[in-house]
Amino acid sequence: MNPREPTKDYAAHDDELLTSARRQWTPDSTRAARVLALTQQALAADSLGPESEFAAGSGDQAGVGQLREVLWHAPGRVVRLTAATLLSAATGLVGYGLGVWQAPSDGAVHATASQVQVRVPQEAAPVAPSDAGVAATKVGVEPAPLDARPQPAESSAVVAQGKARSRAKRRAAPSRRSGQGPAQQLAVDSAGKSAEAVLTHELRMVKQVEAALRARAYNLVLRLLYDLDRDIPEGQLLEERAAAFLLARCGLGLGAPQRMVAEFAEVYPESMYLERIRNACGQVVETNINGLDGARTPKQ
Amino acid sequence: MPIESRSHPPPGELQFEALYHAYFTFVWRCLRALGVPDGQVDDAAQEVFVVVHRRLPEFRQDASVRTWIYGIVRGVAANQRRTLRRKGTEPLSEAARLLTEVGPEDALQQRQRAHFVSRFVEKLNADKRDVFVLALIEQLPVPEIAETLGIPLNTAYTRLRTVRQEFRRAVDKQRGSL
Repeated sequence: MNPREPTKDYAAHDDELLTSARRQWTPDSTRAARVLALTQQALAADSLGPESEFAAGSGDQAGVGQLREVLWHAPGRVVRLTAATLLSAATGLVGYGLGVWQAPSDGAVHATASQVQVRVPQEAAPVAPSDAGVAATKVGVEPAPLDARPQPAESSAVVAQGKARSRAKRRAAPSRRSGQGPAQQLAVDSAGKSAEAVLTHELRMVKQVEAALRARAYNLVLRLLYDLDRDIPEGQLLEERAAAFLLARCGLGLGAPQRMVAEFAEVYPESMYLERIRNACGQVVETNINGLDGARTPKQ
Repeated sequence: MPIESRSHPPPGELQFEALYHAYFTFVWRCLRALGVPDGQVDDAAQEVFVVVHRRLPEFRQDASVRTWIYGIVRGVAANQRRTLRRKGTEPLSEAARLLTEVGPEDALQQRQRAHFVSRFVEKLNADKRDVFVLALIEQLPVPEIAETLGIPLNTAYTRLRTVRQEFRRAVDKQRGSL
C-alpha cells in the first residue's frame, strides 16, 4: 500500500475537522435576528452610497449593460479621487483666505484645541480643552473597586498634568510637520473635528468599560472592549483599554498575570495604572522593569 | 442554538426576507470560512444583504440565487481581508472574545479544529478556496459548484481533488508536529 495514500482513519479525521469547523461557523438564531435588524436599519436609513466595486463583479447578471452601473463602476475611482482632490484644494484655499483675513485683525493665530495642546508650555497643558477631557477620563477610568483608596484632588491634578504632557509630546511631531502655513493648519483643524467626534465616542465607550469594571462585570468589560476595538481600532485611549483588558482578565483569573503585567509595563512603563494592575493581579512584580524607579515599585 | 438554512424560496417569488432567512446561514458560514474574523462577520453579512436588497429587482435569475449571493459574499470577504491586511494585525478584540468563551473542553477542541481549518483556508489561493468552502464546508454537489464558480465541471473536480489532498497533507503535518 502506498504510504501516501490516506487511510479510512485519516479520512474520518478530516471529516471530523471539517464538521467541527462547520459547526463552529454556523450562526445562531440570535445573530440572524440581530443582523436582520441591522440590515433593515441600514436599508431604512439608506445610509450606503452607490455600491462598491465588488458588487458589479459579483452581481454580473444584474448590472451588465446598464449605463448607470458603467458610469459608476468604471471611472468611479478616478471621479472620486478627482472630487476628493478638488475638495481638499478648495478647503485649503478657503483656509488660506481665512488665515490672511484673520491675521491682521488681531495679530493672533487662531488655533484649535489640538494646536493649543502642542504650543502651550507643559505647565499649562492640563487646561487645554481636549487634553483636559482626556486626562479627566483617564482619572475617571481608573478601576475604583480595585483600589479603595480615595484619590486626593491634588494627586489627580498631578496625574492629569503628567498625562497631558505625554500626550502633548506625542502630538508635537505631526503638528510641526503640518505647520507650513495657515491653509495647511486650518485643513488640519477641520480634520481634527471628526477626530474629536471619534474621541468622544471612544470616551463614552471607555466610561462604560469603567462602569463595568466597577461592577466587576469582567465578561462585560471584555465584550465592551471587543466592540470598542472593532469600532475604533486605533483610538486615543489604547492605554486605558489595555489596562481595563488586563484588569478584567485578572478579575476572571485568565492567563498568566505576571507575564501580562510585565508586557503591559514594557509598553507603558510610566503608566499610572501599572501599580493598580499589579495590585489587582495580586502578583509579586519584578521591581526593575525597564528601569522603573523606586516610586513605581509595586506592593509586595 | 445554531440554525440551519430554511427551505429556499422558489424562483419568481423572491422576497428579501425570505431570501434572508433562506441564505443567512450560508452567507455567514461562507464569510467565516473565507477568512472574515468572527467579530466582523455580522457587519460583513449585513453588507452582503444590503447589496442583495439593492440588486434584487435587477436579478434576472439566469443563475441560481445561491450562485448570485455567493458572488456577493466573495466580494465582501475579499474587501474585509484587504482591510485586515492593511491594518496588519488581528484585533485584540478577537483574543478578548475567545477569553470570554472559556468553556468545556469539547468546545475548546472544536474551536481549535475550526481554527486549524481557518488557517488552512487562508493559505489557499482564491480558486481553491472557493472550491474548498463550497464543497467541504457547504457540501454542495460539484456540478453546482462548477455553476456557481463559472468553471467547467472537470476543472471543479480537479480542484476539489487537489484541495482535498492538500488538506490531508496539512492534517498529516499537524499530526506529525504533535
